[in-house]
Amino acid sequence: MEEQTKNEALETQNTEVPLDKTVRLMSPTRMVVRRFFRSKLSIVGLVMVISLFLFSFVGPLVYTEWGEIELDESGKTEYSVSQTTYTVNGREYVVRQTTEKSLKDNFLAPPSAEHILGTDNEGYDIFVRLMYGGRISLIVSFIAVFLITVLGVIMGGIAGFFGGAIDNIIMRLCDVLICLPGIPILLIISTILDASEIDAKYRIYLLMIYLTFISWPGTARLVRGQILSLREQEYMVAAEAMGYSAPRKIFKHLVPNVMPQLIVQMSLSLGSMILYEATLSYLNLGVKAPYAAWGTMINIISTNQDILQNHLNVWVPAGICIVIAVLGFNFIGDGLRDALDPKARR
Amino acid sequence: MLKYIVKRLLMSVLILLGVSMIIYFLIRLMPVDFIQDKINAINQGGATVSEETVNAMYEMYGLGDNSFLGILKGYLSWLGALATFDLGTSFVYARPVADVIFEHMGISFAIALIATVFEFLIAIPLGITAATHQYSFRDYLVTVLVMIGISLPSFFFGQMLKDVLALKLGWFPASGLVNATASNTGMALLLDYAKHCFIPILTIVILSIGARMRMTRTNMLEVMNSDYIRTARAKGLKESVVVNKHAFRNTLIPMVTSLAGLLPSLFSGAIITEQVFDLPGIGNIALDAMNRGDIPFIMGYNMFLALLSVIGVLLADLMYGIVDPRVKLE
Amino acid sequence: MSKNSNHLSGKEVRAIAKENKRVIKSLEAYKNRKADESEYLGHMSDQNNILEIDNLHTYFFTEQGVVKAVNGVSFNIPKNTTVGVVGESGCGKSVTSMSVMRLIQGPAGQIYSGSIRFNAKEKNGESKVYDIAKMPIRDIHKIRGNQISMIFQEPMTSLNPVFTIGQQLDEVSFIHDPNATKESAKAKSIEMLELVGIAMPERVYNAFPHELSGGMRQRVMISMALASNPRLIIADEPTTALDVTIQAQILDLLRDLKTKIDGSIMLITHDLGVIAEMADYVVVMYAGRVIERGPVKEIFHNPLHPYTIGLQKSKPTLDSDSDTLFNIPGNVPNPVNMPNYCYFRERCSQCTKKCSGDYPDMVEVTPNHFVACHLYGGEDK
Repeated sequence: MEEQTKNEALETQNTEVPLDKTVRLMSPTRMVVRRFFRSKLSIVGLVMVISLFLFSFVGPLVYTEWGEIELDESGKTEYSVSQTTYTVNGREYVVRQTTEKSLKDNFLAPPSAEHILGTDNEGYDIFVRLMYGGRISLIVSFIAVFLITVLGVIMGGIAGFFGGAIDNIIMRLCDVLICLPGIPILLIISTILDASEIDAKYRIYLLMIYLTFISWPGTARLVRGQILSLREQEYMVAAEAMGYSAPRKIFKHLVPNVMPQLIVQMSLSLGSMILYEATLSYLNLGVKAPYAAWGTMINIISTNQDILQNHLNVWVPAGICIVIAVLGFNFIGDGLRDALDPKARR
Repeated sequence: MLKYIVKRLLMSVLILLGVSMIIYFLIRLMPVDFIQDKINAINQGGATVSEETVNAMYEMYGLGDNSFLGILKGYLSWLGALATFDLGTSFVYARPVADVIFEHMGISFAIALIATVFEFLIAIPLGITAATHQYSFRDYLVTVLVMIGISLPSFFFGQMLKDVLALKLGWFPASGLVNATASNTGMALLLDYAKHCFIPILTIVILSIGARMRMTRTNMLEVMNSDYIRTARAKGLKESVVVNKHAFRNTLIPMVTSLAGLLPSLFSGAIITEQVFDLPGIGNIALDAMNRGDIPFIMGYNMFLALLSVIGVLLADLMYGIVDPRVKLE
Repeated sequence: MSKNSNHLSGKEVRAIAKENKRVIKSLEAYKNRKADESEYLGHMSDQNNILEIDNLHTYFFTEQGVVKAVNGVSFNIPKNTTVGVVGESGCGKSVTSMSVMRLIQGPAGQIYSGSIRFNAKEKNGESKVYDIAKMPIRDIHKIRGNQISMIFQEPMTSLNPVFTIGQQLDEVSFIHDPNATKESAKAKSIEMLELVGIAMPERVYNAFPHELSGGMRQRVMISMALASNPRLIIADEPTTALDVTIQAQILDLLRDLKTKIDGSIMLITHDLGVIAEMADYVVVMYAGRVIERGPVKEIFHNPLHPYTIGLQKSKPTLDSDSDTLFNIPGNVPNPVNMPNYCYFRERCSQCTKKCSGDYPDMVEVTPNHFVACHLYGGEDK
């Protein structure tokens, strides 16, 4: 009841210049900005994401000591291939290792002036690879989220506009895609990519494109739901009765109605896409050596206990970067939800 | 009610058909000589994939015939086998896929079940306090923890816990399910299992608790703002009764529904966590199988997962009708 | 960012937020404090009153500024009477009733100042005067639901959907009677359901709320309000959400009950017809203030405030010759930053020079008939 009274009060403010001409309210933009920044967490998120962007995109331009795939080697290199079979719990593991040894190699160097975070087991500079890994993560997840949104809006739009059989088919397709197991399917796709011998640099992009094909149903359902509820609205019925074209009206009302939710969803899915990319890279399905990705940089510890225990500088920074990125986008998404979608306010 | 269930069942079958088509199509995208390579690799690794198994698989999937009719025929024959629960024979294990899945399902289920119980036990009270003390310090703390839980990558967090609790402090074993050097039985064996599963379960609980807490909090806030809570207060009920009886019973509706939906997915295994701790659960086995190109297993596992999630959706729907007196299933 | 001067600047917004936070913090602390009973006991100015609201201020601290939803409201409810509170939506009548029940939703909504004195009769027959506005929230159960009960506007959503009617009714007996057993509670509940004219009380007792119609649910709500034998029932637009025929039945029921329970009713409505039928006294509210109050006959036959006159005129009647309904021009003013002059000034057809002065005081024109308007009372301060 109090809420209602308050809303009524707020509504009357907007209708006319009331009693007192000097009554001043917040402009809608300021209201959004204010609500967004009211939570300290949104500010923290914004700082996190901006600094990661600067680190990944501006960093390599400023700090040029080492390149992404530039080994710290000053002598000859030697290659040896070893293959070992382990039997653990009755199951056999085959590990084939191509070792690249530099005579004056500088792998697993501790942090120093020369290598801010040291070097990894190959002799790459970790600090620099973090920057390049960030580029991949951010670019890939932005592309994926963009594609998911476009596809979702189109499919949801079609389903909502046309209804009937088309709606039914698209919605059943959504059901099917939602029941598809995520990572296992990506594992299959990755195997297919292996089979078709795609360049290591591009396979992550292809994987993410596949990912968009199975991830659009969420957005599509959102858009469809909005269109359906708009259709139910009385002013829509009135518009139709007066001979206005309903689809145009729907579109005009749809954009402001669905935009806030879409923006929130996009910022939250940016976080989950980064997580997805990192997981894929960790499973050695995404970005492959010699190129850097945060997940790939952690991958090494699943086989090398020495690094896991004794060389924290090799894998912990990458993990922290992932957490910062995902956390940052989630904080922003949460803040945006508060600011843009007052109905969903906590 | 019965009509509704039948309708939903038919719909589920349709969805499963759709999923099977996609999975089959994906497998058919693999070049045949690539599959042969993988088989050779398995053979080289010490295991023997018998000629018979390979031929049986070729026949079952109709591989090799890439005409439209050939693909269709292959799909139908595979589907026919699926309908009789024949998932083919695993290359790596040289046993029927269904047997391998059932054998490793238990451990995954046990871990997931324990983790889920803890998740609910911890997340629900925390979610409720956050909601009843909205905007307080407690609320912010819970929100931050929720966010961190959602944002941690499981492989990174799992490895950290493993590094600290197992390798550095040595409190728990780092990997595997049993201590291979000791031959324990009875209680001692159970204790050994518990010790091995502690960190994996801890990992899963911490990572999943956030989302559950947020769900509880959102639901609770919605309920707390409803008219019937105001009525309950107006009656003169104590705030604790209002929260723990009137509000909580209403928050339970989505909770129980989601629990029912969760149940089947408990069998599917946590791929990453099991990989990190090298547990012989279904997820880890499947990951291994996929890396080694064990195609029958991959297909079988994926269909198994799809079946679980279809059942989950179905259960959640039915449960909703049971828990909420307002809902009549039609 | 818009440079529109009708919008608040960022600096002002921050200042508002800071000030709100400070005020809310102290009010919340006051609300949640532990206090000895003596701190909130008081005296009635007239022992014949059951409730005395004195200069009550209930504010909502919003981002846009302080909304003074109830801004200095004073009126009394005598024993065994029905007092009608009437006004447009958003005039603060519901917030007043919520303040009496202490159901204002914090932290944004707070009773800022004023007192609400309630003449309570304890179980042992001893009578005590509580100042509800000063009671800590933890002690409110002494009054809420016990001595004062409330009937809400939305019967459709006011009952808990997951409990049966019986469970929800029995609860009232259990709260207020420590000796209640399952059987006695059920008997009482059935009795209450019969009292409100429910034909098959046993069946309704075992039903879930969603199985009942709106009118039935409102009857259940009324029976729930009666179950604790309250001294005062607050009915907040009890018939607004119901069909016209059901409305009449519910109003008849309320009228009958008043004689049966020997208590008072505070009836909140925007419908003057309901007031005319039900009330003994009328309180007219406008923009968070009482502008006129008096016995129902006086208000209907001799309305003084131009707003009350307007309200009367805008009531549809059959015997009037006019084809169009009268309406008061303009809107209810924005309750943020209310200036210190008559809020009705800009909509008023009888506006005089005096009206640009301070907000008019309440003056007693005829016995018990008060009005806040510069047209009456003459003397300026």
